[in-house]
Amino acid sequence: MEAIGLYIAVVLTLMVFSYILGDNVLFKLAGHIFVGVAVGYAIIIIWFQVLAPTLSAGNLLVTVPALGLCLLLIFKVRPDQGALSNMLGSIALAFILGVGAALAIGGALLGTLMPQISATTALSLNPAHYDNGDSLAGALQWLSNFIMIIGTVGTFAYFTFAVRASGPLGGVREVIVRFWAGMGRVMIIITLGALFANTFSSRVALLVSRLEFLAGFFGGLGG
Amino acid sequence: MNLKIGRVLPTTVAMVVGIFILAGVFVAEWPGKIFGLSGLINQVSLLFVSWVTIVAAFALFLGFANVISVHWSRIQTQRPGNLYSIVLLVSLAATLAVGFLSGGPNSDSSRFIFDSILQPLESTFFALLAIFIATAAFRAFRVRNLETLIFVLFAVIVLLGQVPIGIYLWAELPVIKDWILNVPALAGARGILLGVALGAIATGLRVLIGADRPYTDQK
Repeated sequence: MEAIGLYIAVVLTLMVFSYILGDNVLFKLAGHIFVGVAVGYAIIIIWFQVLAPTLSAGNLLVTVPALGLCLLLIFKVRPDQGALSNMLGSIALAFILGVGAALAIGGALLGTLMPQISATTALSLNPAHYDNGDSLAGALQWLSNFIMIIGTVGTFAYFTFAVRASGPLGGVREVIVRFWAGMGRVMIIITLGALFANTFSSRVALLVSRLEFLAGFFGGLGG
Repeated sequence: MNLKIGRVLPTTVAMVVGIFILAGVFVAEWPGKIFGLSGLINQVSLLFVSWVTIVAAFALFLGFANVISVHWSRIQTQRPGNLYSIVLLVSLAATLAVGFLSGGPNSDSSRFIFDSILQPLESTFFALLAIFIATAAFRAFRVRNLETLIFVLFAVIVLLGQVPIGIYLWAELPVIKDWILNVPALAGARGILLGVALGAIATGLRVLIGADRPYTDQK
């Protein structure tokens, strides 16, 4: 069984790699096999790990209203069936989106916004707070903290998509926003450069592992 | 009148459910019990989340049904590429049969499908991206102005700092790479995250107050 699995994996890997020679039937077949198996596997996981345990628990307070909402959701499959069916389908969708929006707000606030702000405000620009404030290491830490603070504020300011303010203070505001946004632009370029390099190296590592897999298989056949 | 109810009812559902869930998120932060209110809000919000788990799973089933229907109609009408649709549906049916007959995703047969088909295909598709990223890099790495110079410079330092050849070129390269990732790149990522979080909060609030109604077709 293990040997059969190995042969299947090698054949599928070669089918995907055949795309290097150009778009072809083998690559398309591999893509469609992948979609079919992935959808089937997702259905199995959802059934065995989400739906079956919840439904078999026998908690009517959970299952009955949830199944009611599932039935309502069917009305949304074809939205052009009339006002009533459209409204019934919208109720189920509104329920999902209401929960999703509220969880997104809570997650963004407690999981991202507050931890990131507190991590930035925890950075000190006072060398007396460092263990080695007088040495070169202390100076480097000060520089790093300084870059972190202006980089974070600048990047954040770069996403200022407001209407240009009128009046004498509007011009001052424009100058301040432009200054910080310019700094943020440089930080975003550096971040994207680093992310690009990280993504590229992780993909190359994956490519090497697949090539090693093929080399190991064909090496095993030869020797 | 119908149109109005068709808009008001779903919006009310979204608002009420959203307010309970949002209150449930913050209830954990409240000090002590406030006349049993915090417990009630927690129970109701947990109940809503358990309902939505089932409904979301069912929504995925509807999505899968749509995949099957699209490919089935392609086979029936004998459109170009129907062979691929046959392959997709056969592989889907085979995976379902193996999964349900063997007793779930933790069975040996399901593990076999994951280890021999799904995992090799997924990792090879991602590995193939390395080649396309490399060709894209040749175009992106053409220095035209100061901004592309900064992009290329930092990308090359991070790339070389991650591979052994970087140490042979300059021993300090991995240290500089770590500094780039931990200071300027982190500052940029933090700023982007703050923007994304505020955007998510604004979008969520617009849904909860009914300013955005993506669940209805009516404007």
